[in-house]
Amino acid sequence: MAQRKPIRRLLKKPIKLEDKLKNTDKLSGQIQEQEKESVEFSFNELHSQVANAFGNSADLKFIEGKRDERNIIIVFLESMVDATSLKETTSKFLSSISQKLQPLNNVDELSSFCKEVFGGASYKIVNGSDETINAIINGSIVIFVECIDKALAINMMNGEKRSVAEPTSQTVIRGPKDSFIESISTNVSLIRRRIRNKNLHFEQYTIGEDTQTSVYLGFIKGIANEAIVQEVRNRLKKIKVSAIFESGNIEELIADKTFTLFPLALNTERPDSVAANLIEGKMVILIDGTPFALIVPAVFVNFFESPEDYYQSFFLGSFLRMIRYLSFMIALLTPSLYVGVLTYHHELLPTTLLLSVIAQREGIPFPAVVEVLVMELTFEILREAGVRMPRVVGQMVSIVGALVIGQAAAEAGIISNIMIIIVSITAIANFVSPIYSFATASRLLRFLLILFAAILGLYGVLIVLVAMVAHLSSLRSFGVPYLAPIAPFIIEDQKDVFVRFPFWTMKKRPKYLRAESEKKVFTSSPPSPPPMKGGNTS
Amino acid sequence: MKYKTLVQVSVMVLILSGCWDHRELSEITVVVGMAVDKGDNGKYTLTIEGINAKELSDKTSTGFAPSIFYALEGDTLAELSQKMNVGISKNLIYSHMKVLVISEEVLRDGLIDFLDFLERNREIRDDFNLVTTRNVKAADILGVTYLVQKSSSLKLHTQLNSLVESWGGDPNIRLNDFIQAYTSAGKRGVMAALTIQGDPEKGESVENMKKVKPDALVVVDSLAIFKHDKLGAFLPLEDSRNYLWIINKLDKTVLTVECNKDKFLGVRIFNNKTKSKVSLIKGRAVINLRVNGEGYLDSTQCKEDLTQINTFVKYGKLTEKEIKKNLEATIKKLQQEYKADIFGFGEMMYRQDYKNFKRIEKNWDEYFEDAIVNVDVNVKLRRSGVKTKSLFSEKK
Amino acid sequence: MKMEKENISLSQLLTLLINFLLGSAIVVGVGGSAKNDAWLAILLGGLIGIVIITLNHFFILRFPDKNMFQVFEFCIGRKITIVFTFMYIVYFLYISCRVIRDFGELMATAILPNTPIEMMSLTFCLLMGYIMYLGIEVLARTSEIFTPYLFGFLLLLAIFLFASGSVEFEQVQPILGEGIMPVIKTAFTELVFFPFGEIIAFSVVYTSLTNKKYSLRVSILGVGLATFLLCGSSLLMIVSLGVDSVSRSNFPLLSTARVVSIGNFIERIDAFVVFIIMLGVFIKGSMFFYAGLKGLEYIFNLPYRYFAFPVSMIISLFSILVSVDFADHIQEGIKLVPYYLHFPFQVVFPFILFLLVMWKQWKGKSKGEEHGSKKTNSQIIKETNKT
Repeated sequence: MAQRKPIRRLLKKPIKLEDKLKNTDKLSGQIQEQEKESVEFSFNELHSQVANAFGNSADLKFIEGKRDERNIIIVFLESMVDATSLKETTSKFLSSISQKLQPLNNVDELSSFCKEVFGGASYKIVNGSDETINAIINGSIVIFVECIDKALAINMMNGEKRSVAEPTSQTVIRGPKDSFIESISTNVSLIRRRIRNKNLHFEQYTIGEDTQTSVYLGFIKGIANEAIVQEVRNRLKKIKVSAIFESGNIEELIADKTFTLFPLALNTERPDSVAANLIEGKMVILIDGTPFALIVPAVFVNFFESPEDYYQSFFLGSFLRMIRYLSFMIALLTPSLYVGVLTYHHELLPTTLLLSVIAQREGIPFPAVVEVLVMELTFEILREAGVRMPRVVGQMVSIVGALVIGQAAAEAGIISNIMIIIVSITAIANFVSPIYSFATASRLLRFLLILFAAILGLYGVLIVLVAMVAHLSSLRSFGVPYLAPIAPFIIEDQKDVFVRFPFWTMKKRPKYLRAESEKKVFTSSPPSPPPMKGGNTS
Repeated sequence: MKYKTLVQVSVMVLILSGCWDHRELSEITVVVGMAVDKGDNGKYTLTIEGINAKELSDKTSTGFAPSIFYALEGDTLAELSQKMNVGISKNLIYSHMKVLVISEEVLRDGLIDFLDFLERNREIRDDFNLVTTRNVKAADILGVTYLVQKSSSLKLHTQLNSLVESWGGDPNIRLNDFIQAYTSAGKRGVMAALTIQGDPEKGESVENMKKVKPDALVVVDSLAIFKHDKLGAFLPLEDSRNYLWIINKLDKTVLTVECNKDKFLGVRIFNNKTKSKVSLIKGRAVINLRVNGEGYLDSTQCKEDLTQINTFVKYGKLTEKEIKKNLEATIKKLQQEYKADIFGFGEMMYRQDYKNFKRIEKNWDEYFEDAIVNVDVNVKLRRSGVKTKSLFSEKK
Repeated sequence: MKMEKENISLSQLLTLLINFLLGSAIVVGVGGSAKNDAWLAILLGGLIGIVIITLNHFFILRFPDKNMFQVFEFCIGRKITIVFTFMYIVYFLYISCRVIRDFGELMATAILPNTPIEMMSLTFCLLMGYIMYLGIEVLARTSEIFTPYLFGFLLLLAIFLFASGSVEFEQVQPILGEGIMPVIKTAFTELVFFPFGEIIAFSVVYTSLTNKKYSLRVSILGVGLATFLLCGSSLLMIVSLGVDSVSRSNFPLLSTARVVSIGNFIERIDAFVVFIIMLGVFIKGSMFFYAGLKGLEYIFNLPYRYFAFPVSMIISLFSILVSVDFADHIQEGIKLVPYYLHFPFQVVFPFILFLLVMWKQWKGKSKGEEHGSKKTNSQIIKETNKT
């Protein structure tokens, strides 16, 4: 603790850094005025002071050189800088500096010298301990020269990252196969390669007092609604936490309402999906260190859209979308309807079905509701085990689960066969959701519904459903009503809700996003064959 | 915070005391049939058929009886239906009742006060067959087992529905139909009457299901007609079909028409439409029936060449004549013999000539007996099966 | 103090109106005393309903930003208005109780006979309280979402009835057998109050409307559609059950649904019908609830959301206390409510209000002339709106 204290003191105020990444050509200024009260390093005690600040971290390295009796110290964090370029540049720097070709008496001279030596690398003059330490943390090497009160920071962040791979959680059959990775610069480049438009802006925020995570807010100026963008900006600025590791953290911190089961921001690892949403007029929030980007504002119907809807024939796209809505209802309602009908409304079943269900349930010791709860919980346990298990063991779990729980329980007469069907249908339907986080709603609400079905039958189910719809209609995502094109009903937006219309009919952006420019498709006629020559054209 | 407490309290209330109407499937027995007989001590004897669901499915069947019968005596069905647990283990649910058999005796005495219970009860829906018996007790009808469908009530339900679809001998009476006839001034009720062929005693055992020729079988016998809220008489099955024909409820039927002496045609009638007009002319009711239908020649015993238009026309005329004869006979029978307007001509007049009917409402039965009936039949023979000429016309 | 501004779109107003009018009217059935011609009476009643809503619009056009209570204040000052408002609050909440009792009776009769009606009322009112806590906007959106299902289910019910062969069109005859008088009598003594007169509850909603330009057209369309649906359902009941059976039913639509039986598979669907009915009842109860809450907001100058849960519990309690048994409930609804409540609150008071507004504006105009200023009528209205 004692060692960390100095840093805490130094980093009292959140600092916005200007980023030097090559891919972000358009940065809007987020630099705050540095507070001048920060401690100045004195060159003589530099070594110990910096080492103190970092608590003598093992990866803090110093390289020392000399020119004209003036000491030169290069400080950097070994873990953050690129080893090869470091080696190359420092040797180059040290060798050329000793050749005394240029005067090196003030910071201007130092910087012009560095310009020559380091060619393309981005550098920055730092002043004071705060800036210096920040530069070091962010992977720069900082060059101190005796008698010059300012230092020079050269960014040499190492590029340790995995390569772009196929998405793992949002797969498609037809469509781009790349997905985001943990490096934010790569992610930005993946988006920018899809939208080559100067109006695509990325604004940088540094969030997390301890983690100093870079967060980018991306939007297309002239399309995204200014008011909503401003709202997102404000919310990002308001965040004051110590650590951000994943988009989920940000999502919870900027959502309009956190006491809800429904996600108020879309998360995706697909750059094509992000690009499509940007074009619609939404915003994207990228977080360094996670392959999941947030798309805001998100409305209910967005969670039933897969990018593939737009890559396939619109008939199939529409059909699949309706299947998804159906699956959501199935996943949400089947177990509770089972309980409600079997224990309260026997009359709803046709006679033969009722008799066959009675025959099946003969001798089952549990009431229907207990049976359902036991099986649903068992399934949730199996599922969680399947996700957390090492991949090799995972398959075993599914086999054991299917065999033991399914067959054996039914054969032993503990669980009825129809129950197994219900649980399986529910489970499979739950996996249909294209955005994984959305399934949580149906996963958890299901239990509430089962409870109410057990108490009040179908009436209870309906009470919960109405309450759920009311809750949904009270939600907003960055000011946009969550059930937007349905309630409030917007007739123009119905082209892309339950069915997907052909592209040439979708001339405008969704109205609920209040985009700055509404028009999307400029040619608006359906494709037609060229007029026939010589034939009967009438 | 206040709301939170409120919500918590209500959730607790919900959870701690719930499930008033909760009934597990393992705690219920489904009643599929009810039979009402006259009681010795009470007004009625109610017999119910509860299904032993395990026996109906092949997988779980163990060869025991497929259903359980239990009878109780008392004055109201409402009480009896809930009192059944003196002998039966599980709760009974009546929502899946398929058939209600009311014995001839009960109906002859006009003891149909229990109709109100049936109509008022929330579980019992208006989707069961309402039938009566002839010469047997209602409980016996329910008791006869059957090979193909193990539960006799389910069997009766299917049997009656199939009969309506193929030939039309069952008036397909539901509770609401009967009550409508009961409350109307211009209509009298009818019901299908069932009886048992063979020995009712033997029919009640599982053994009955093991024979190709069962010892006992429930058959549709006739049409019971009501007069002044009491069972009046039984009409033969033929008239039962004609009854359906007249009230425009006939789906499909096959008619035998004489084409030569002792030679007959079999004509299937479909797309049948009967329109009736009833009016008061010079103080007499005039009933005009117009029957339209299409025919399909199913068989012929005559020699006429079926490739000729003339033959079709001729057979069509014969069919029309036969239908006209039948319908007129049935109506006449009811006018003169039974004196009951089961066809609802009065009701028809109520709709078509409201003012006049209001005047004669009280004496409608007399007007009906005296009514002039005109039947106009129009049948088009459309096709004649997969062969052209009859094999008899080819025979040298 | 400044209240939160809420927005209701035209389509939401439309669905609210339809659900509101169908609400409990479809549960207990209306126009029964016209027998065979109930549907004609409903059509006539619908015409009256259109007149009523047009009259309501008279105020909306004049005071676009004021609800009924504020118009009262404009005419007779705050103190007397508080008395009036209090009476209206009691009236609205009482009707809300009755609507919920209607539904509770239906549930207790047909679906959950052993569950105490208190339970039904409590859960229902909690739900209403929750939605009102979220605001009228949420109610409007909820109604917007459920309305297509309502239409769909009604259509499905009609199709099922046709498919199961229960429909006999002759049963609608004789049309006007007893002459036109019963129809007129039913329309003017029953339907004019219930359900059409109850539109008075909407006088607090119009201020939230975003697009006031087409509000009259949409309102008329709403009343028209609701009339059409009521008339359709009434016809459906008559042709599938027969007039006698309908008139003997406590809940005719429920009885009608009980007739459905298709191929031994789609049978006994009355539970579903009850749940369709529930949505309508829910909107209707909530609308009266909201009207009452708006009154409280006016009296106490506090956002109405504060009252949502407490008042919902009051409604829940009084929906039980309002009558001892079913006969009491229905008798009260037929004999007392129309004459002692509906008539004064739907006709007399609004009419007085109408006269007051006319008088006030006439006075304002003449006063303006006296003082030599050239204020037009509309300018006065504009000024009053600003305050």
